[in-house]
Amino acid sequence: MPIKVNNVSYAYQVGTPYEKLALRDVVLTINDNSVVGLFGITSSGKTTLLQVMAGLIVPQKGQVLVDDVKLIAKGKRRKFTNIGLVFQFPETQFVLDRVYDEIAYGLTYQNLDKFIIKERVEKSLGLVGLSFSTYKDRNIRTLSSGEKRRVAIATILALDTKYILLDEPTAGLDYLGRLDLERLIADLKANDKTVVLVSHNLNYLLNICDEIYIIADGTIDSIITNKSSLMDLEALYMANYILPAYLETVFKLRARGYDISLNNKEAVLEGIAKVFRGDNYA
Amino acid sequence: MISLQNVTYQYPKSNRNILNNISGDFLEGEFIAVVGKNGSGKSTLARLLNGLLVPVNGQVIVDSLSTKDRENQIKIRQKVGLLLSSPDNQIIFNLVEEDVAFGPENLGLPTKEIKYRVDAALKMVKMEEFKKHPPYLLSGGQKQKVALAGLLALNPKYLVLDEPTTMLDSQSKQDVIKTILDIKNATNLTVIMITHDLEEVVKADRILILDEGLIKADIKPEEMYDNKAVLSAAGVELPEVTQLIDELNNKGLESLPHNLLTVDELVNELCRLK
Ligand SMILES: Nc1ncnc2c1ncn2[C@@H]1O[C@H](COP(=O)(O)OP(=O)(O)OP(=O)(O)O)[C@@H](O)[C@H]1O
Ligand SMILES: [Mg+2]
Repeated sequence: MPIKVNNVSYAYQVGTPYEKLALRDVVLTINDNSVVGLFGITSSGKTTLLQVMAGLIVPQKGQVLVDDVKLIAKGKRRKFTNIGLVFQFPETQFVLDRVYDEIAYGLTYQNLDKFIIKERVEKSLGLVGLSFSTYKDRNIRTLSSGEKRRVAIATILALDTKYILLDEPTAGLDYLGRLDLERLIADLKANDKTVVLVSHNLNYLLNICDEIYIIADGTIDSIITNKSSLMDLEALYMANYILPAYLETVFKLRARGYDISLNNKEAVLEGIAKVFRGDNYA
Repeated sequence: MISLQNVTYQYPKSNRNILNNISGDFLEGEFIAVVGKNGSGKSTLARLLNGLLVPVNGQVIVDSLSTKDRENQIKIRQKVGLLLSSPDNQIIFNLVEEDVAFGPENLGLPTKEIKYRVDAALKMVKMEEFKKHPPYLLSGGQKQKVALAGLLALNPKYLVLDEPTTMLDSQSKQDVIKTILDIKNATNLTVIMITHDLEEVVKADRILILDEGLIKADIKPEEMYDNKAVLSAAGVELPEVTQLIDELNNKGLESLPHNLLTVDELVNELCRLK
């Protein structure tokens, strides 16, 4: 059963000179067992949308249904939502000092055996590439920025919720961390989880998502799915979004009059090579 | 010049050398990128450069002043500005101009001089028109530029930027990087920038690769491809364009040079082949 966003509108600072409409009549369904990306420039509304889905923000209009149940009842978020959110800034998510305690914190409400908690903490740290023995006793405030990001993700993984929402999870991660996260998200999907992630890196989203919602000005501007053609992406290029290098290259070449097929990545590379490799190539 | 002389650093109550006997110079007007895995010691290096941390062994010398001498501290902090990635933690005042004025006010400069510096700094980051704005209404990229102006108002010689664009979207990232490059080109400032973004790295004059407490390589962006084994061992990927050139060459375009670093350079080179 999905997450349904029904006609949600939200404005910040209502009634002040700085009132700003961040979401306008947004309608979307996050299907179960899918990986969904939210993409857009700063202040397009993507973080607001994610926070609405997590129930952290109560929209002035419309509502969110999670597994057919209203996320917000009488202005309050339901207590057990089966939703885990990793914040954009890890510092704003942490409540305790010690790595172990922070990851175990959310589990204390689940009435779990001490031994199971330890197992979960150890497993979650492993999933984000941090060794349990090295990191369990570390003070979170003294971790490097990439290590903090990893702990923030581990904290949510430990909750074992069905829905996992990630706000800019790759920010500050090194190359290996980004690859690990890619694998982790694929694993979550394989284990019947649903992942929604906000990212400003379209390249990254294209690699891992089933669907990408392009958010502009508080509404869904367009949707890219794994069935979309590269032609659809050319429209994004025209709208000045930053795309993978091979796509930017082919779009620039096409703009200069070279007719190169946009079938798929392989065809693009083959097409570029064919046009430019000279006559005597066998 | 900032000189690292056999610098070793360990955090208190830890027995791991985060930096292990490293040496090297940062020259006037240079733009140096520092890359490496999470936890490789990049931010530690940044804090050593402006004296927030002092080496356990060895020395960091800023224009002949050692960061180890407490009496040099104020002078060094003024010469070496440090910008962090989270703009919200760096901005505290209600108006952009108050925020930028904070540093010079602390130096006890005359009001006229402060006003002059604030205007000049905001002009350098192209934020003059936001002078009277409350910072919290600015975008992440604009806040980052205001924080940068705050550093510039101290007339530093060195800027150390610790992942200045990590929390920004692509458009703001490009805007902040362009601002940094413009400032670097218009002045003789030395810019030392930590980043995980290879598209930013290729804009530097020189790249330092940190791993296992050591500087594993000190190379020019064009030399990244030739050093791909070192980079990969240190957990650093090649720029996207470099990878693309490899893929194209495997399809029979063997003459494409590996020192092309941007899509535009690649497109021009391809069209030249024709
Ligand atoms: N106060 C401290 N006590 C113990 N260890 C620390 C302390 N501060 C930092 N460290 C450790 O030192 C190592 C280097 O940290 P540093 O912040 O310099 O890494 P970094 O290269 O900037 O990483 P990132 O890319 O994640 O920002 C990390 O493993 C970190 O956990
Ligand atoms: Mg760091």
